[in-house]
Amino acid sequence: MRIKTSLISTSILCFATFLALAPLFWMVSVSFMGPEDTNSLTPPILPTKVTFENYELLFTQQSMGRYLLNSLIISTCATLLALSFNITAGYAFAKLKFTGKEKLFQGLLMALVIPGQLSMFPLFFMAKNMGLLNSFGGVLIPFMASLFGILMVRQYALSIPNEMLEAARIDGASEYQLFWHIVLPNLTPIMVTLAIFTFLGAWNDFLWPLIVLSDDKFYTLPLALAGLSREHVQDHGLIMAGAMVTIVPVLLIFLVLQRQYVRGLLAGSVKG
Amino acid sequence: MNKRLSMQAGWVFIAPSLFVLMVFFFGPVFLALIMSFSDFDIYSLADISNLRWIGLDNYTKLLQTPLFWKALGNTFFLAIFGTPLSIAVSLGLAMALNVKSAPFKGFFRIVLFTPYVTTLVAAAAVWHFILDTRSGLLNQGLRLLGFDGLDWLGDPHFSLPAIILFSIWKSFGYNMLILLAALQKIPDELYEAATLDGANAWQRLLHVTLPGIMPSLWMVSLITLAGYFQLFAEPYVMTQGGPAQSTLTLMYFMYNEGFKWWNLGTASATAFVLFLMLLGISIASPKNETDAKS
Amino acid sequence: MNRRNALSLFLSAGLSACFRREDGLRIWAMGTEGEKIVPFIDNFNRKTKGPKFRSQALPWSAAHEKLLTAFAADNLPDVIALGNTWVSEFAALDALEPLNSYGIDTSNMFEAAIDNATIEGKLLGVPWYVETRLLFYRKDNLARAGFNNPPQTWAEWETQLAALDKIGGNHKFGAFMPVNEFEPLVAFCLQSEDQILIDNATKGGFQSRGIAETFAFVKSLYDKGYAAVLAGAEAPDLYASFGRGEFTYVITGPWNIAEMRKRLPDNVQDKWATAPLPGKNGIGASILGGVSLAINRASANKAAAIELLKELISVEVQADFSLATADLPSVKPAWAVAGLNSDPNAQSFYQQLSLAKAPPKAPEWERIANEMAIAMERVVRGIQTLDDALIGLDNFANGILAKRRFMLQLKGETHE
Repeated sequence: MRIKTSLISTSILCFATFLALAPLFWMVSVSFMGPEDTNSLTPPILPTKVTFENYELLFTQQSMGRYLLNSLIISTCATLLALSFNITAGYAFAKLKFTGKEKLFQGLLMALVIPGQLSMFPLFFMAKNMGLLNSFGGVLIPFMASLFGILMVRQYALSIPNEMLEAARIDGASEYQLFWHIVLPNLTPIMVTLAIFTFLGAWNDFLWPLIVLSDDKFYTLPLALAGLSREHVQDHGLIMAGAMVTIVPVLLIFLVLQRQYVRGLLAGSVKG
Repeated sequence: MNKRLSMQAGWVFIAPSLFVLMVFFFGPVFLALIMSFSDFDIYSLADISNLRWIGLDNYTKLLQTPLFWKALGNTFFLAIFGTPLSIAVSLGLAMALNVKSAPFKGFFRIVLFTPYVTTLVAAAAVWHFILDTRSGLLNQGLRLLGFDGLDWLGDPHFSLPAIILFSIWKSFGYNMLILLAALQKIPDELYEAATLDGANAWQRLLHVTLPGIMPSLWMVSLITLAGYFQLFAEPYVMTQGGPAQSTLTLMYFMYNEGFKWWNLGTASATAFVLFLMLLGISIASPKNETDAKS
Repeated sequence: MNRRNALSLFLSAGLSACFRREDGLRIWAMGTEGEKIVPFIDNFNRKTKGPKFRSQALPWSAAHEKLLTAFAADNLPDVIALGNTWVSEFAALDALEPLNSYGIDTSNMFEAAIDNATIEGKLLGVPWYVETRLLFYRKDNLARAGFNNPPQTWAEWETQLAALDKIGGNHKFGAFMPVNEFEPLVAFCLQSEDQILIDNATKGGFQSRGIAETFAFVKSLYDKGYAAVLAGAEAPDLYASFGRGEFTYVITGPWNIAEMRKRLPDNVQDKWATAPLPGKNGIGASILGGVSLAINRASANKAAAIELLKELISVEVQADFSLATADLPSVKPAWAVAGLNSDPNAQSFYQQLSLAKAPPKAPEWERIANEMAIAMERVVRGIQTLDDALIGLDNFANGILAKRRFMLQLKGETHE
């Protein structure tokens, strides 16, 4: 009986794995195919002749290297911004007492329902007046503070033992010393998680950069790829290669740091 | 003395992010509401004095715009059909992963989560090719199995299902992990007791599993539902809203009104309609375990 | 220590990019022209002692949005290549510099193109390259159906299409006309004596007899199976299909002269030709398209921009650009220099360009044109009747043009 259920579940999982990975495998394969394969009526599963010309074209003609660099810079800056703004707030909501804390927190929770797109249009004009349009700064605005980030940090910070904090206070430490020397080191795991989330979120961000950036030299990978995909519709190999360049870095980050990523995903999502 | 300092510190600690949220989030949201009561369009863009205040006209005009209803209908289709399918897939796989004696669980968990991590635009570009009528992988596979290929992205009847298919592939991993964690919290004794009482697998599912994960099930359903309401990048990359506007979603409609035609009054009104719908969904959802179980 | 240095270097690169504004002169152009213009800009930069230009290519599918977004962001380039239907829109935005007094010679250009770029007497763009749509067709298919000449009237065309339906072999359908492209539909509508938009383009004229007749004519082509109901991206590869003779007619533009030569197999090259569009009673008008070069009113260096403009419309550069892009020069003398006078296909275009008409000059025109294609697709797919579609189009146009009506009424300009 045990064997039967585990056989069933394993076959289901194998089938699901096949379906989950097949598109990605196809992406890799096509990215190395030449036009003879991609333009034929039924492109093969594996390239008849492995070629690097798609990647060559990407980086020489289509400036993919610049877009890759842009994505790296923006994602890194977004991560640093998010860490700077959200850690202190998350800890404060978890462990510090101040007037209006509960009501404020409830208000922020309710605000989670508000879709980000609502703020897009006025934010566009705000960014314009601040001279941040068509620059990295404009793209970074939404990453400075995020409700989700604050909640994530708060949820984790709740688990810091109060006794530890009280002991330090009794020893005469100020709140700021407390934060810097005791709390921060304890928050390292969630900081890593927040960093991963923010980095990936910024890397994958599409709609806002689409609106903010008009000069292609500032483009991020998703923007460049969307343009490529709409403009060079028949150039399948090129587009798959572009998709590869966009996906591989985030996949690598995920694979290396998956434990922290998954922990952050589950934090606060499962009651109890 | 300590208490006052602690309070001060509290406000100092939250000040930066609160300030940013006020200025860059709540502020614009409020401004968007105001904008939705005006007829801001490209003429206003040229000269702000062309702006007129029209109260709720944007909203009433919106309700009379056939394309708005088409977009709404498309979005509802995605939400109503996509959400249960998505949840079913995630739950099924979570249950498969929860089987104690199954091997390689860690490996499967990671691999099955991979689609969720991929960049949406890139995945959409890949799937655009996969769904290609002539040479795409999906139709090739179907033909191998003896079926005819379908015109996934060119036939208005198949375009939304194609988007659902892609969307499920892309996001099932997230719900799967959350449901798995919820499943793992159900004590074994409950299952054993049920079996002793003579319950079969199906009854165990209905009476032990589902009630046990109900809060998480509600949560992922709501998140998935909300996600379908905000669908944009998929049609933008794959179909440009076509064929025959069959994949024009509410967000895409809003994007077109706002950034293609610069009818910001209409676009803001659309955004608020979307917000009200999401608000309605969240209000109507159970807030705690007792609500959920009833 | 090294890590900290690297990080701060990284950050300052990022921060400087945050506040970097565009310096230097810019020109934006769409599509392949945006890529092909680069050597001409380089050449100009080499020759000129003034500031240098940088060009950026915009994909057609996103160009309109990007231009409007750039306007909203106060970030339009100094020289803008504008699709002809966009000139009136950017004129309404007061974004373009009037060019009447800069001594630009437009006397040797196609009149319809100049007219298109002239709004209320102000020349707001200089035609850069022109295009129109006409018939590309397979002579051998026609011959097999018993015809030696392309059609000159709608009735002739229908007769031919009916005969073509029966020739069998590779032939699948008569005309390749994807329903989501509005240009052929608009071209036929422009042949009518009735206007698509009336009252100085402030109201819809879709229920007028001429326009309704045109819609019915186009619809009948789909209904009778002469034109297949295909949406552009899902259609079979145009060139492979044309090369196999699977259809006989396609209404398309001048870029396909070179594309057909490039992509069709050698044994097919002498089997295709071009001809002007049939009209109701004889060879008809077509839609004037193309791109004009305009100057941003907010440009910091209009003098340099004018110099670039003059360079790009000089006969030699027009001819060279035409050879590089297969676009048709807006400057008539350049045709001879580019060898287009000896090309019968190009000559069809010359003929059609002399009969072309500019589409309505309202900023909202493109939305209405898009809606025309959308309506035709609904009608052809049986989702809506033709009468309802025409009423719907009038409602749509009237709704969209409401603001324009309002503003022109203020100026007393609603009557032509």
